[in-house]
Amino acid sequence: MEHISNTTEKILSVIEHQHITPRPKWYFVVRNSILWIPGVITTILGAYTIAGLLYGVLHAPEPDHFLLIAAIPLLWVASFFIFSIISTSLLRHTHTGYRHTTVQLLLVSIASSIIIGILFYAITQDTDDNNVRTLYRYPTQHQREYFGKSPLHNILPERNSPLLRIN
Amino acid sequence: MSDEELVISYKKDPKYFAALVERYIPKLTRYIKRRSAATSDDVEDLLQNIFIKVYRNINEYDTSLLFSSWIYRITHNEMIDWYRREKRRSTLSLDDEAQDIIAKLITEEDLTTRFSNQEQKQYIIDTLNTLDEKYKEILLLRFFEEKTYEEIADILKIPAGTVAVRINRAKKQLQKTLINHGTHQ
Repeated sequence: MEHISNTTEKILSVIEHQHITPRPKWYFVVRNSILWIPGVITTILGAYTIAGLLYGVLHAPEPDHFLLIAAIPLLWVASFFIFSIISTSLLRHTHTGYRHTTVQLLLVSIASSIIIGILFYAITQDTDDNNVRTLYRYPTQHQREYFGKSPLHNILPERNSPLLRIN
Repeated sequence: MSDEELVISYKKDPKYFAALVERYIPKLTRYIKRRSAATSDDVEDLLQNIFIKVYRNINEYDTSLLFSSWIYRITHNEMIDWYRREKRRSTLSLDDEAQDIIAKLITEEDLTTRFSNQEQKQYIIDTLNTLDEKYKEILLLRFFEEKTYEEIADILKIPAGTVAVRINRAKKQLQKTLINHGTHQ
């Protein structure tokens, strides 16, 4: 530079005297990756919710109108939406996340959850290891037991509802 | 040499940073002055903070983005921090050059016959200052800094669709206030 203004000189001098150095590239890579973690957790939660839902619906001995409600792992759905809110707000701070609307981000998250959930359910059905399936089975089983013990079970057609009989 | 090439050169040789600073001081000074009623000392302090942040975070800059959008984003955030620190509300302070832009804005909004003289143009500036912060900011970037929708989206970190909606609402709010004023004249 042949000539620099006073303001530029001052700025350069502050940088030099305060020993300011550029932050390394890895700092921004790590920060950006951290912002993606809730998004990944949201998708995993959603996938487990879908797997749990599939399990609830497909493993009922008899079809029932009440079945669909009882099959939805409500706790997981609630967690999924709470994490969705957190992750969509955090994704706004990633490099390109802000270019998409909240609805777009939510749709991508839900679509990924459905695909991964179906795949997860399909893969784990063939395994003999019950522990693998316990995670998504438990909320549905627990919820059915709750419904069975609550006054709601009186609206079911018979006392020993198929909802309570789980494979 | 483009801004982006200058940044790449700067990463190899720090002396190019001075060239970046020199290039952006006039643009950012004008933007800060238009966005606020900051004194010359305030402007200098703000510029210093902005360029220190640029220097410190240069490795965050992603070359898929225009450098000008990135530095305007830093400036925008620095201005918000400054308003908070100083407990001030942002006030547009438009220079003579901006008068022509106002003329263009009112022509676009078909308000030329009602707002043509200097006194009425001042009223337009006052009205701009009564708009919501998000509308004021977006009109400033679009009409005074002449940024594209994509650039504004990158500066404010919002989707491009939201930029279009906000500009439209801002213009409607401005037009409504001006027409109400015109009918009371």
